[in-house]
Amino acid sequence: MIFKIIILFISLLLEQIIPNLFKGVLPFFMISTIFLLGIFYKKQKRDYILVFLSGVVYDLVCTDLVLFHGVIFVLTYHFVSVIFNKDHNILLKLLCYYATIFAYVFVMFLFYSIFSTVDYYNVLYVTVKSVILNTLYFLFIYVIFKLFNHNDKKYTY
Amino acid sequence: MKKEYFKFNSEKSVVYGVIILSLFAILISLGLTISNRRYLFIEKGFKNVSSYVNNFFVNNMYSRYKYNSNVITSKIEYLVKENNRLKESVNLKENKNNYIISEVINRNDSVWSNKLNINKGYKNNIKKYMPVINQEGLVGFIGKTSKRQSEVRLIKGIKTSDMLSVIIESENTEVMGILSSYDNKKGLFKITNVNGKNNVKKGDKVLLSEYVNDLYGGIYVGKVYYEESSEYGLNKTLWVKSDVNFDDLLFLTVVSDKWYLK
Repeated sequence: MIFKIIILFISLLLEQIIPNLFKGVLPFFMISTIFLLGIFYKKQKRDYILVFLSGVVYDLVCTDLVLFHGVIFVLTYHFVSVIFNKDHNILLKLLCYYATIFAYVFVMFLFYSIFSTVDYYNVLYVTVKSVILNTLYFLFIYVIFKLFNHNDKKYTY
Repeated sequence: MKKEYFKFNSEKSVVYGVIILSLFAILISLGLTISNRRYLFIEKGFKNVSSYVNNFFVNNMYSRYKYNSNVITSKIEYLVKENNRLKESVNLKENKNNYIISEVINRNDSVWSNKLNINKGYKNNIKKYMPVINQEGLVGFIGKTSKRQSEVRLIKGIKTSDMLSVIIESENTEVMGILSSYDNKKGLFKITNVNGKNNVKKGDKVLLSEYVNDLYGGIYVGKVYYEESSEYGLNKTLWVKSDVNFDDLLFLTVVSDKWYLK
């Protein structure tokens, strides 16, 4: 549990710092961590609460919203843990991670379009521009989960 | 059949419960975002912590810029003091406008909602609706403030519900207009209700007028790019190009109404 909290905290911290260091970049580090949590730690009650709380904290620190990311993160975690298996190919996981990012961007776009003018060209441009950075972080967290996930021994590859 | 229909299904009820709670949470979030509210108590705490963290990284990262900003701040302070002293000597009114230089510390929301966060809050005399500028012109206005952090609403997120009165500095006259929206595709501001009789040319300066707030008067918005006649030639619509690069904002200046020294 502490391990998961640390990983989520690091993701949150980096997600806040990275846009200050590299301008015009949109990190999806929290989404990638939650995506991998859904794969490696399936449908655990504690994780639902942890993911929800991390979403609430994310909103308090990074955005102007309240509770929104709590719901989005829980839904992401739930769908990933229902659909995915640890046995799936890494490339398939990566592709689905991109699909999750674009779904998240679409939901955010719909939500913000209600009360604000969102420049969808810019959103798409920044999202595509940030793909490499997000992929690197995804792979980094994937390796860490692989190394520290003790339940791995139960499965055969 | 009836009995089965009304039978309590725990899994289904959990799913329905989650859907209802999610919708409820999203509605609360939407309501709180749209409403013209202040930061909640808990939000203020988290924003303060995040501003400490961001400040640490930003200060280390842009040390060269920080040096420049300190030099600029001290120079501005010196010139303002000198200006006031000179004005006093010829019995003119003291200039009360003051400029608070700040650093951008949070850009996470800028892609979505045209908002940024700067590292100065109400502790530094920053208040809601104060104009925010940089060397290229008007950037936006202060939204919510916490102790050490403030939200800047970028001018390119302007909506028809919060239009601004502007002055177009033409050759001989000053023409009034209303800054009503921003076109993301064109990258231009739209100014409506400009009297069709006035001769406005490409390149004429557009400034904010004092009509809404004394602080706004004379702040440079941009230059006239082209004009369109509307409503049978009675009114004109002007398209204005701002010099501000909204994707590359490092340091912003808040125009404050009270004397403030660091």
